[in-house]
Amino acid sequence: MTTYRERSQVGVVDPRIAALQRGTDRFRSHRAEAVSDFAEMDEMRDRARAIRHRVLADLSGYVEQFTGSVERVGGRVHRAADSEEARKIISELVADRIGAPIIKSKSMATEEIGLNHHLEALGHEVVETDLGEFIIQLAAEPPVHIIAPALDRTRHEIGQLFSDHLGVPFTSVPTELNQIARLHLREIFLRAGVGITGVNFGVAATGSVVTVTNEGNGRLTSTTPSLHIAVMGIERLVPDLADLEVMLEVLARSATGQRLSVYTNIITGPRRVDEPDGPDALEVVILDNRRTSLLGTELEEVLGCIRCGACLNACPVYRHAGGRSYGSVYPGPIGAVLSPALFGFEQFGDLPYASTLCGACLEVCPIRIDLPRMLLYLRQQTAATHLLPSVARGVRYFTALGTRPALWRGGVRLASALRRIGPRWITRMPGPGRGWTSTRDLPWRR
Amino acid sequence: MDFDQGSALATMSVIGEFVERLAAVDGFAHGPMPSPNAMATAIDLSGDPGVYLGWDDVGVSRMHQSLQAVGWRRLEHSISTENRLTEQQRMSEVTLGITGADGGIARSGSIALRSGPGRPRMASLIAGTHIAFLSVNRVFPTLVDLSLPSLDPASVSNVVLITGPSRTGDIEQQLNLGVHGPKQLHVILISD
Amino acid sequence: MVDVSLFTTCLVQGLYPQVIEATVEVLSRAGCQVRIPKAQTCCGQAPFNTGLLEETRRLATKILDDLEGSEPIVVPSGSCADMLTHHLPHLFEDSPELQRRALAVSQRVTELSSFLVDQLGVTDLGARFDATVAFHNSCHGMRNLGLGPQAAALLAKVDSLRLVKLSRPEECCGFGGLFAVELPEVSAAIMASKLADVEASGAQYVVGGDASCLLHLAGGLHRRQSAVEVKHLAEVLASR
Repeated sequence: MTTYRERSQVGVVDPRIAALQRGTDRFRSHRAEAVSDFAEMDEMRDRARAIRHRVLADLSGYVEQFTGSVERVGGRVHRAADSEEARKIISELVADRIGAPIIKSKSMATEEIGLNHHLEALGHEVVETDLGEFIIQLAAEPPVHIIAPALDRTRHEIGQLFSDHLGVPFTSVPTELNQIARLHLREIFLRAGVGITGVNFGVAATGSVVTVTNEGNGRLTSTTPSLHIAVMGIERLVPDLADLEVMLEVLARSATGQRLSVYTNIITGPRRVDEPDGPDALEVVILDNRRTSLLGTELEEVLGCIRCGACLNACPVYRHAGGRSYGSVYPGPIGAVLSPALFGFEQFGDLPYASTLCGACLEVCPIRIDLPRMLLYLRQQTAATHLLPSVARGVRYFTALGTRPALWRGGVRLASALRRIGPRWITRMPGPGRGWTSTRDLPWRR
Repeated sequence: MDFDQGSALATMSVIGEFVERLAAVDGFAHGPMPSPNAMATAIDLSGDPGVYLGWDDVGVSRMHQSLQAVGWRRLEHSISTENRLTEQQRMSEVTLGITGADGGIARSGSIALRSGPGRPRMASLIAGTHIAFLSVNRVFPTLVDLSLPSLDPASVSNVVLITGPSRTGDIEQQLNLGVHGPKQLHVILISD
Repeated sequence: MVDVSLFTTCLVQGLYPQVIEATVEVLSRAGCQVRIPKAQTCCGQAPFNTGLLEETRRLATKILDDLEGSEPIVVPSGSCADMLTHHLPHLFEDSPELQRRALAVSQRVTELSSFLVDQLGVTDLGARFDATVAFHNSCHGMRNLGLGPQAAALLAKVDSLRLVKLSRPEECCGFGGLFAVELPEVSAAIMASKLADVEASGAQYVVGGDASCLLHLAGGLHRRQSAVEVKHLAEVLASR
């Protein structure tokens, strides 16, 4: 098991970091433009936050209502306590469909439970259909960004991947690559047996599952196969359609700077008998995976997240050390809170330290989730195990000095005297100071 | 200015915003125009005849006859559990989708489509070109004004808000239209 | 004469004592009688940001004694002012008496530029500084205390000073307290972006209101043999 520090040392020198920075810069400027064009944005953020809090305050009630609503329109709901249960439920649902491909539309929840590997091990052919997700599936790499999985891949790398895996001549022209993917995936869409999507929002009052996409793959995935499986984090509910409107007003603006994404797809049950197309069955898998254990705790508000990715784009740490440094399916500031909260301190207890606490994430969050507060809270929980021992020792000595004014003043005087001698700059220090002088000098002689 | 003139002007500005916003998301708006012109416009836009998929009722009478008169063949699309795969294979020949629309949102340039009898979802999804007819009376300033509850999503399996043609930025954030859905989206506004 | 207490901050005491002199000079010019409480050490931010709550409380409890009084407390640092304003009272949620005292202290705390501009209504301090300057607005002050416009107003009145804009004025410099030594590679990568921005701006000096960020930037500038230097806002305002 590697640490964030070790991974970040690789991340900061990864040549792809420049592409990640260009990508996040574009998302940021698009978001800024969309927000400045929308006078009601601040009010909508307040309303969106209030809606998310209302849901979390009575989550089991809304889950029950949602379940009843889905069943009323002919769908079925399954509850999965953890990843293993979710994988088991889904593999049973698809067990008799070996042979026809399983197509997927981008879903963080299925990344979280490691669904693809599981299904592939059972002999299924699983195909990601979001272009970015398709690219990283070919590359056999985890997504680098919540909404743009292949954000740091260049067109040349993508061209090479396509030519290696799809048997097409190499090209690095984006429109040609796009066309290759369209043709390749189109054929699979039309013969797929199962479509698995994530869920951006579940509407408790109507039982609707809502997916928000730009490419249309989400619509195809939930239309052509006879079975549609929607995998939803248990917290992704909104009470009713009016609340959904508020969430839609903030989601795309925060994510990509669009006023609405191209396809806001509201799916309510399988196709009715008199409808000409759509799936024959809709199975909704509600994933808990420790989410409900956060209710009523200091970390509850992280469940308000709608996965727009704005905090990643704003975060200086994410932008400079990259998404893979987090070692989790959820990178960035949201991942630094969510990963230890959902997947445990043992593996992810150092992620809360991967932040300068600059507050840029809170500034852009459509739900105004106070990530800096929770990063501090998590540090308090993991300091004993995950703070660098030399740093912890240094802080304790410092505190001992700081609570003894006479000693402190002596120290200040000593420092002042020492600074009349010695070099103008200190370029190498031992112990915890090594981290400083490994990358910077320290001004010394006055 | 009396009330009617005022509301007519307000409607015009909403339509103007819709047209502008649809263009901003790389869609094309046409009109507003009366139904007969709308039909002619659709024929002009349809290009080389081939196979198309459409709603039974697109909001313009005799649309299907007119398309067929210039050589288009309509794909009768209705899947069942047994014929799904063979039925869907036929989709690869479809080059045009033609539908009505249940509402429009000026601020985002979006159109709302409900599924239902005679309304295949694939008509707005599978072809390279999607032409939708939208009555100016159904264009609202914002999503909230259009109101999702008014579309009654619970009574059908699918309501979709479409905001421009299918797009992706997944390759170096270069805009690419028509990655999985239509590359061209035409909305013909009907004034009567 | 306005009586004020100066909370000098640990980092300034140890590494930038010239900021104390400059702050006293600036406040005097603005008509203040400055007192420097002798026993003061650290606001507790260093242990607080590392998650060491016990150490934070020990330092914070001591602060309550050190800063007893009723006069305004001026702090030449946005992040320490933020610590004292927003976090100090929450450290004592199980002790009503300490919390009451913490609230009383926090309500008296103001960062230097905000104290001059927002409370005293002073922008012209008769300063002269003949150089091209870029201002680095530190994150905690900017986002949690609304700082930035005050420094801009103060710098605008400095004779001969030419203020240039950074292309990303709201971007973190990568200091982040002990983050700078815990994850030095990431800290340095973020800093490199900031320094590139500073150098591209044509500034001769980076001026800021937080000695902590300045120490980090100065160390980075020297390491890359840049001619750009750092100055605390108080030093610029004190110069003639």
